[in-house]
Amino acid sequence: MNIINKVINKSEAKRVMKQLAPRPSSIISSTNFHSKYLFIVISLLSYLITILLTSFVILIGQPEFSALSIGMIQTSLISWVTLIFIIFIIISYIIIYGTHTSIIYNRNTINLLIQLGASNNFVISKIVYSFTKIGLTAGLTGSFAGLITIIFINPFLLQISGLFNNISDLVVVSSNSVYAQYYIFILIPLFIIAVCSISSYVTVKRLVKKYY
Amino acid sequence: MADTLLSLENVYHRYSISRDIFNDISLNIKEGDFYFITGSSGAGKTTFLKLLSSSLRPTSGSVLFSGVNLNTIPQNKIYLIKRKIGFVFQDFRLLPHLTTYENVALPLKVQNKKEKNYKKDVVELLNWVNLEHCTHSYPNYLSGGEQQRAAIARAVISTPKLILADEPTGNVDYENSKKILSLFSEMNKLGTTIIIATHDESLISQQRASIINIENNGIRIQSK
Repeated sequence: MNIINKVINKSEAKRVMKQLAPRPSSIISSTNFHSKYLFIVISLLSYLITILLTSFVILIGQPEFSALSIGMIQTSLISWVTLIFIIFIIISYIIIYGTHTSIIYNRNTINLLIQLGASNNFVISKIVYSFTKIGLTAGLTGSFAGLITIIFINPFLLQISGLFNNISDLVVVSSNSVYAQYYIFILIPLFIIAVCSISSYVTVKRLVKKYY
Repeated sequence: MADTLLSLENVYHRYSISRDIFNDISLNIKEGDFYFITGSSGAGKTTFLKLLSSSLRPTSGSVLFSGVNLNTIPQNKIYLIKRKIGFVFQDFRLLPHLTTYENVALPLKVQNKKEKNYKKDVVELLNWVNLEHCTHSYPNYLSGGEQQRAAIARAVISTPKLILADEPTGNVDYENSKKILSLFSEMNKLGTTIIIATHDESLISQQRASIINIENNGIRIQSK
């Protein structure tokens, strides 16, 4: 009973503290239901891009790959690029949909801001900022998870390579390609931030101009 | 002699072909005036306030604010006029995820002003409306009267020339109505023009003010 009371008291104290000294809030509420789902979906897509790109970088670093015919190399390059491009299109589409939802969800806030003298650019910047934040956190989470996966998988792949020498070169992460992973780790969140910002900016600008 | 703050010249407004709201109304409101707007439900009190606050453009005629014709201002620049007008709503419209302090500071925040420059003003204003104990409380923890006083503080923070209030006492009891009216009265004594749309006869009887009665698509003015 003491433990339960302690927990209750602690949560009550937290609630009182939150009421007395809350953290500064963002004007456009970021606790909307859709932002959580957006974060999860974009993290997963970012994870997928990291795995795909890393495996692509590893593959092109292998001598067997350069030994393939030009046609084979071109086909695999196009397939990879197309796949990654499609994933970015999906992210862009999700952000456009999310921006629509956000504007509908925050319409009272936006109406009030405009009544209080906010310029269209102010409203646009607040909404784009919230999506850029989602892009940044989801991009970092996904690519970090991808990096961890590659690092953890590596010893197992090395183990397998000892058993199956023929395929080892194709799948094992070599020391040279490890550096490429770090570039990917930095580049993917940047690309995702760019896609999120541009998609939300274009959408919100069009909607604010149309309705406000 | 006070300058003219707002001027309506042959304003005509209709929502649809079958529904005229205003038919050729003209009016001059001077700086420091206090007006009540009365009229039956649906007469057009809120529409009238929207025309004055530049939220709505008249079908024809012109609305001049400090000599500037609001019809000639591009839509993307209208926010510059809105910054000179404070608005108080019947339903308060405080943002529930912001504290009282943040809600009051909102008009300055949307003008991209630095918090260090206005923090003191917000705290002083919260003292003026007797909400110093609620500075960090969220609106849901406040009573109706407290929420309306916070909304008045928000309307006043950017020192507007004009305050428009749409049924400000519609959701509060008699005692709180008196407090709210006294706040408007104090603002008016400092030179701010106040226009209040209301149904509340007791509120009108407490304040010496001119009355704009909206009826039959026109207005009838009763001077104080």
